[in-house]
Amino acid sequence: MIDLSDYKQNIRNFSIIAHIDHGKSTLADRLLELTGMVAKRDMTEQLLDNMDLERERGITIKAHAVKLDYKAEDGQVYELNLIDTPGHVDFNYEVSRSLAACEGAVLIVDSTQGIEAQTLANTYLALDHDLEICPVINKIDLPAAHPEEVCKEVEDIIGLDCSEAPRVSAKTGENVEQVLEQIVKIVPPPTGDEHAPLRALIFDSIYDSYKGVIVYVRIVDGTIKAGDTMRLMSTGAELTVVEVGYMRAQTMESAPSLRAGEVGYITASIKTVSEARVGDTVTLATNPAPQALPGYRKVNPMVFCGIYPADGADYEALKEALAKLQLNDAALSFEPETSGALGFGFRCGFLGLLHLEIIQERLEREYDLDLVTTIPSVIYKIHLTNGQVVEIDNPSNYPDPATIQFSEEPIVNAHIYSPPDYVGQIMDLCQDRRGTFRDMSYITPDRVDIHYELPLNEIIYDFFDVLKSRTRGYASLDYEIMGYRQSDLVKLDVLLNGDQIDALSFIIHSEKAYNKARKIAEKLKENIPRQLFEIPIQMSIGGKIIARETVKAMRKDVLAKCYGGDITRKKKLLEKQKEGKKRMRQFGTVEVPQEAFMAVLKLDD
Amino acid sequence: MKPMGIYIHIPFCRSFCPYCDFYKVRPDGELMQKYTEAVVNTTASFSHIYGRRPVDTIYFGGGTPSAVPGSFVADMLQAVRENFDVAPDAEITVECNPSSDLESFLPAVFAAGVNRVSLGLQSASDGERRALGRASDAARVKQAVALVRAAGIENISLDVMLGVPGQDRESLIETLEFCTGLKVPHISAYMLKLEEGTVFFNRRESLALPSEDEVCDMYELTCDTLESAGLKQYEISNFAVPGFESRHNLKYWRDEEYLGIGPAAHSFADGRRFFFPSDINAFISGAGTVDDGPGGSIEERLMLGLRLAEGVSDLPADFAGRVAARADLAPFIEAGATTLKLNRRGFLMSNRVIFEILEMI
Repeated sequence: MIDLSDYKQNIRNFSIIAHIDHGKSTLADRLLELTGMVAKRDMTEQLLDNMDLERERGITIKAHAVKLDYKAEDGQVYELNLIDTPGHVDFNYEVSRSLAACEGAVLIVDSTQGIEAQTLANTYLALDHDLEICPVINKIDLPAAHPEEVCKEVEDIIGLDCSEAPRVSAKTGENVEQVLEQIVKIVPPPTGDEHAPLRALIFDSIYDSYKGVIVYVRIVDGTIKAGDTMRLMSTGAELTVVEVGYMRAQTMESAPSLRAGEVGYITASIKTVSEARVGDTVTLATNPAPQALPGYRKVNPMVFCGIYPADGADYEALKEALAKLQLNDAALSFEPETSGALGFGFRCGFLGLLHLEIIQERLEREYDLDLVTTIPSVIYKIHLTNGQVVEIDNPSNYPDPATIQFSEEPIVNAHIYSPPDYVGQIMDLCQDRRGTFRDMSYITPDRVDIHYELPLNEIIYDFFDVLKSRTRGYASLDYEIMGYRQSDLVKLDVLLNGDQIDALSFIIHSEKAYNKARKIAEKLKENIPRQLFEIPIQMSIGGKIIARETVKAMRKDVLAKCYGGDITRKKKLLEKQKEGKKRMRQFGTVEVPQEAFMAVLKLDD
Repeated sequence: MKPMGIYIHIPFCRSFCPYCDFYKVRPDGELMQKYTEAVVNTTASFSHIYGRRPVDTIYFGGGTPSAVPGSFVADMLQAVRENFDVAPDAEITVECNPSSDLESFLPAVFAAGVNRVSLGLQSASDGERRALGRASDAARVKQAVALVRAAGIENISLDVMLGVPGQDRESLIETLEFCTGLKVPHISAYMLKLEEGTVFFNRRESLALPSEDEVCDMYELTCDTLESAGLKQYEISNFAVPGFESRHNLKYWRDEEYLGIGPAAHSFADGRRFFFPSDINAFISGAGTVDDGPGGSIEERLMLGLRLAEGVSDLPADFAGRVAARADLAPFIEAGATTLKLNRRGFLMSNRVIFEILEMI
């Protein structure tokens, strides 16, 4: 009898795990080149990161996948499916689904830096999914490279044998073909039964304006082809498959069918990515699988903020832009909200601060919108004296303090990996951010894992940046939500000229309120230009003023000379005033420039 | 037809002052000759376009009009008289730098009919004058005033600057006393503004400039001192014994018509604003003016008229009423049923206050 599953013997599904800047995208580029997927002249740097933002920030935001044909040294042609994963804690769930679609992972370690927290976290995630790991030591072309020490680190920390690990330079291409050989050798072929009922794991979906949503899947069992009626197991929604195929580096290549073990795409006139969520299982309506693949969960936003158009006339444009981004981003949520200070805008939910920044930047860059963003908030659980529990992600909805019995805030389990020299600074930072020390362990003599429990609201602003600067970039952070904890919270309000500015209110731990209030008042004073009248800035908690500053009235704004009848100058000056005013927000009687918001937002300790 | 004003720009300066961003070039005999001819030609062609209009003010500004031979100014003035209907009592002003050779310049221009002289004093403190790049000392200014008076001309204006490097209350008092002591009937007191592209702007971090509050105090002190010496404030930066206001400059602020001749000179005639590009060679070779849109709108009337102590009148009653109702503007304006004017605080804040008022149109 002929073994029909034979085709699977030549498939390898793998992802690449690496810390930011360790060379993931560059290595991926070289693999594409080596397998002839892309001609050298068509190479854009970091081809897989096809969003401008991804290239600029050097991070992968969306997962990507590409099928490579590789003729190995044994003379056989292999189908290598590279599934690229996002590289930031905000996108941990996506990472886990991408890994679930693979049998192996290439672990890239920078031979000048060694293992970083993010790498380690993702490596453990990969090991949890029973992936075989192929370590690759990168950047051997750099003078600071010490590959042998880094190999030892990988062996000590993860327990991986590095004797066979390719020492490569993704930049120059040196030894990169060894990576392909290792993949063929180490990563096991997929298992699964192409005759069983269909179970396909969605590891990503993207919106395409011509095809609708393109769903990226790994076929675990069964076969799918155009014309089949597919069913999404989390919702039961049924759709007719329009097309199936493979992802190539620059094109989509349609195929007659996708079979167990393969990685490919499905289109079925799906309108938004939220209908085909990452982690969901696709089956067939005619012969459905009895059980979905494990691990599906709907990702929920963790961080919220208000986004308002700087110019109220752009409200509709902002709404459209958010809707378009949501087509491609199931984790983004938004609903209309109104602010006394900012007018009409949207309350938006994000996975984390990076996600927030990315969305904000895309709105400004791709949709050319001028935005005002309020201070990000997490979800607080407020227990009221009447026994009710309300979840608050917007300070404006904070209940009357008299009705509050107690409050709870989300806490994360945070691991910070760093050279031992910086332990003092890191602990100071965590202590300052209301962290609870859990434990500390030496992973190697050069590397410490510092474990803290930290309130999420302490790390959503600038924690990562401060951590990086205090440790000269050496420390890395990984965290996961562990639950809620009772906390002494208060709502801090800002009053300008006696009017409360709702958009500047935020919820904060009472111990930090006084200090923060003073700093915000100072920052506002620095950033609010002198106006026609004196402006008192007051910070209050429940009506009690805890800090105060004053912006003195402007005395002089005059064009002294008449320039020989040249009134163009004067007109230009008035134009300037107009432009200045456009960037201002009217708060009651006070005008506040957008920079003042930013300054309060970016307030560092 | 209402008489118009004529402005003639003399874009020559022997030395460039570090705060000035007016258009100017170094004087050169041949260039000045050609320039004079170009002004004469332009005067004729303006007359063709706008007609032989009545003219009652002529103003030679700079640059430094006293840097060219007085005969050139006389030639230009002659051209104006030939092409326009110049009133017998027309106000004819020449700006002079005290360090110029006024002994030969003034007799020539007076003979041609100049009857008003504006002298750049800037400060009576020689230290401050040096910092401003002015070569002569205060004694020379005194001498220049005497020269003008010797020709029987009393209509003299002195330019004073406020907020210059090194200036303080005491030195300003000295400067003001110097002016009132000379009993000139007109003073212009300009607050220094750092214009982009000037030496001062580029060196702004290292200049010992008085603070904003100090400058405001200086301004108020100037207004008080000059008023009590009989010089009434009639514009943000201008003070005169009644009857000695600059009739030419009043045309700008009252949104009346004028023709500007020379590179960078602006005009307002037949409802349009236009100007010559800032390029002397283009001007000499006969390049024309650049249109700057229509003039005379209510915005312009307010923007210019509110610089004057008399303010703006004949406004629509509902508009004046709405402005009067603005609590935030109340400290800066005086509003009548159909009139608006700024008070002294309003003058200091005029850009902002005028902007707010224009936004309400």
